[in-house]
Amino acid sequence: MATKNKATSRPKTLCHGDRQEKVLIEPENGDRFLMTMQDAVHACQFEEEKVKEFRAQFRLLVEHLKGWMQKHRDKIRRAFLTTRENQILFLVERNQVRYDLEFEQELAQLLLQIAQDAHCSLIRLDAMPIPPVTESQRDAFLSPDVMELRHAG
Amino acid sequence: MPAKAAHLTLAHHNQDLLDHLVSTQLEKFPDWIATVAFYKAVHLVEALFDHHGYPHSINHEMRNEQIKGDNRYKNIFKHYFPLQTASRCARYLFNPFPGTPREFTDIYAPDDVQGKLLNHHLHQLENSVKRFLDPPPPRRR
Repeated sequence: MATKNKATSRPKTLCHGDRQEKVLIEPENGDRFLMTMQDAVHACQFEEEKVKEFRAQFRLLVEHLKGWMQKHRDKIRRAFLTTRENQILFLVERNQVRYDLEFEQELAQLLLQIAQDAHCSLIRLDAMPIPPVTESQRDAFLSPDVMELRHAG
Repeated sequence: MPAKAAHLTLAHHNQDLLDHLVSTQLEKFPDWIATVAFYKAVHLVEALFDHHGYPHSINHEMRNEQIKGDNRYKNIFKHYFPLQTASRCARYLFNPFPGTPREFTDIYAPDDVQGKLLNHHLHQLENSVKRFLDPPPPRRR
């Protein structure tokens, strides 16, 4: 995102006193947001709160997933959280190549729990169990935003 | 934006292909059978959404969130998820590196595809959807 003006070392200041003055925001996807300063301030405040809430929920999610991994540690080789479009992907690499019906049912149950947990209301989680794979195969599922999870034990 | 009837027609169409592939090509195309099974499940779920007044899903993410978010669909998701996973494995996972699954059948043997994916997960999912679409008539006193 950039302003039409050349970037300078100091940020451009928009004062709250100019409440009815219009600002135009153009993100890189081509959207255009024309709004009053007052609305822009509200949007920033709202976004800041949402980001804080999301971070808190994400921390809870990580702890929840680590606990789940601990219960299934004998079946899990490695696990990752990564972003995928508007979702978070829980990529779980099994120890065994063969499909494991029970493990997939447990994973489906975990996704249902998180989807219906009011403390994770901002989290959109998907999961993908995979057999042991090479790094390049695994990378095909991972975005640059990735963290490896280790079980809680 | 197809409605319930159109989705059910497409689900039947997929079932026709499944019947054909399973009876003649189970050993050769288990990966495609898993993929067709998943897309049959997609059509059944979309028919159900239409029945319950939900909007048509524009992508897999939206559909997954809708299934998980409605308590009535718990059992459906438990069977939908393994079908989706198998379909993703069939489409995205394989390469010729040693020590890793080289073929779909390393993960899902043809017997698994028929016994677990089709006869268990898809069957259970279809039954759950049917119970919503054709509820039993109320009991008479």
